[in-house]
Amino acid sequence: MIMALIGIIIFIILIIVLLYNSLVAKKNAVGNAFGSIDAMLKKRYDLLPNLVETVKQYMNYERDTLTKVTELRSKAVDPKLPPDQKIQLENQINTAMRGIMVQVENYPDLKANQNFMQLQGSWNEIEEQISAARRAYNAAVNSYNNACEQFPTNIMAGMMNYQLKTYIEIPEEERKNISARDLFNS
Amino acid sequence: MSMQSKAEFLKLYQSQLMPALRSLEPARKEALTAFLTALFFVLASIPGFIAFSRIENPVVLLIALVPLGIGIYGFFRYNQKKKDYAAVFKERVIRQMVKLIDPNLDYYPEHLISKVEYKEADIFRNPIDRYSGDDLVEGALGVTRCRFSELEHQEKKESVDSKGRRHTNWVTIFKGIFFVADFNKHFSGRTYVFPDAGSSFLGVGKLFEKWTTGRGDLVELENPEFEKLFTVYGTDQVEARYILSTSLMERLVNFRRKANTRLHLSFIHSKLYLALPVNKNLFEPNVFSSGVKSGYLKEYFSYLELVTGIIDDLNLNLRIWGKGP
Repeated sequence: MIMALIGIIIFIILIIVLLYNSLVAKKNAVGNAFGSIDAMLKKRYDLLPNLVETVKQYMNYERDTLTKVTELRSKAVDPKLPPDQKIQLENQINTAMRGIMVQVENYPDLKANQNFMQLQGSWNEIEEQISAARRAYNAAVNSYNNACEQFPTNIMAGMMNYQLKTYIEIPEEERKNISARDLFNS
Repeated sequence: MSMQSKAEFLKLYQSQLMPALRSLEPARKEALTAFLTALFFVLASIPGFIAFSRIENPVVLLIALVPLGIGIYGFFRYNQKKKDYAAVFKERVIRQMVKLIDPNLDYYPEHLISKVEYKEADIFRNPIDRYSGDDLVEGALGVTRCRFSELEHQEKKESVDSKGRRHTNWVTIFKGIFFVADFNKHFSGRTYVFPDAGSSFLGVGKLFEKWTTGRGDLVELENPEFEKLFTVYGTDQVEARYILSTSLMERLVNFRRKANTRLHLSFIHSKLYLALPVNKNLFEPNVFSSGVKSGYLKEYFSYLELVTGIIDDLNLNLRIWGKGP
């Protein structure tokens, strides 16, 4: 009788440990995924000044936009910035850069510049990686939120005071696939 | 087959394949005659064996063995003739078809995707006890290098039954077309796209998907149609999504519909590997019916088209991610 009782208690403890660990793992996965977005964004910040400098030499009419991008970047690299503001700045940089990439079409010399072509390739690569990192983040949030709301992990989550996390909204224009036509033809 | 390629194929068939096939007809008929002759002698030996089993006279056995010997030799000769016929057929017919798909493609009737490359793809991990294949096509389509061949991978399974007898079973792990292409993005991890196992009863399959180990973690993607058809594993969650962009997922769904068969893909060392099962031996001539018929050639052509079409279907020629040709 006592043996059975001990058995049941051990079983319950085991289940609690498993639930607890799976929740913690899911929460950490979200943090990890956010970290990978951050890493990708840093990569992009490093590339941005180079790209802007190269483009500046050729573009006469888009100086304002280019200056704006540089300003946005210096704001965005501030480590104290809260995540939601950071994402907002990111989206602004994105939109501005997309505009510039479209304008490139009007500057055949720039388009043929070897250095620029390489930078553009890297830019597209990073864009796609950032988008992938965001999707990975949302998938991690999805799995975490499911655990917070589904039975029986929801009981555990309630006791651990875990809150639901919000998804990163992916701007409409970014949801469209990058296609060569969008990039090279205005 | 699309309308345009159908028209092109028919043009090629009428202008080049049909004359080639016609000139091959004597060779085919010769092989057929060799087969029928061999069959005749083997059948002719049967009465002798029946007689021997009744009267057990060695002379009768001799009478039976002579036609059997001739018959076996006949089959040997038939095999030789069939091989010769197949070689010329591939040279004159299949090579033309490959050229019609793209003049930049080379065709090697006797070669195959190497075992090393097949292992690198890491799709089927069963022991490779028998490995064969032929009809290698290789070249650049646009800026993307690719190659594919027919392959068959078999595993030997031995079992002992209740009476202690050994049974050897050859299990086919993969038979079909194996395709390798240079992928248009850099990556360093491993990503596997396998047929879905998760749509079974009450999500039990989903649970099962998570248990599959050794290929990294399950990668759950946001395209429901894609998730219905495929299960993705990868060593890096972000990289798997970098490879399987929203557009590539859509394209894979469409390709899967077009191919209408279970597909296994892997993305390793910046390469794309695809195993497309085909349950017959492609690109071979048929000795037993008129070679001039176009039906079976159309099928071969549509397989060639399907496989080479992957480059366009998955947009692999789009090189905007800093990875050159």
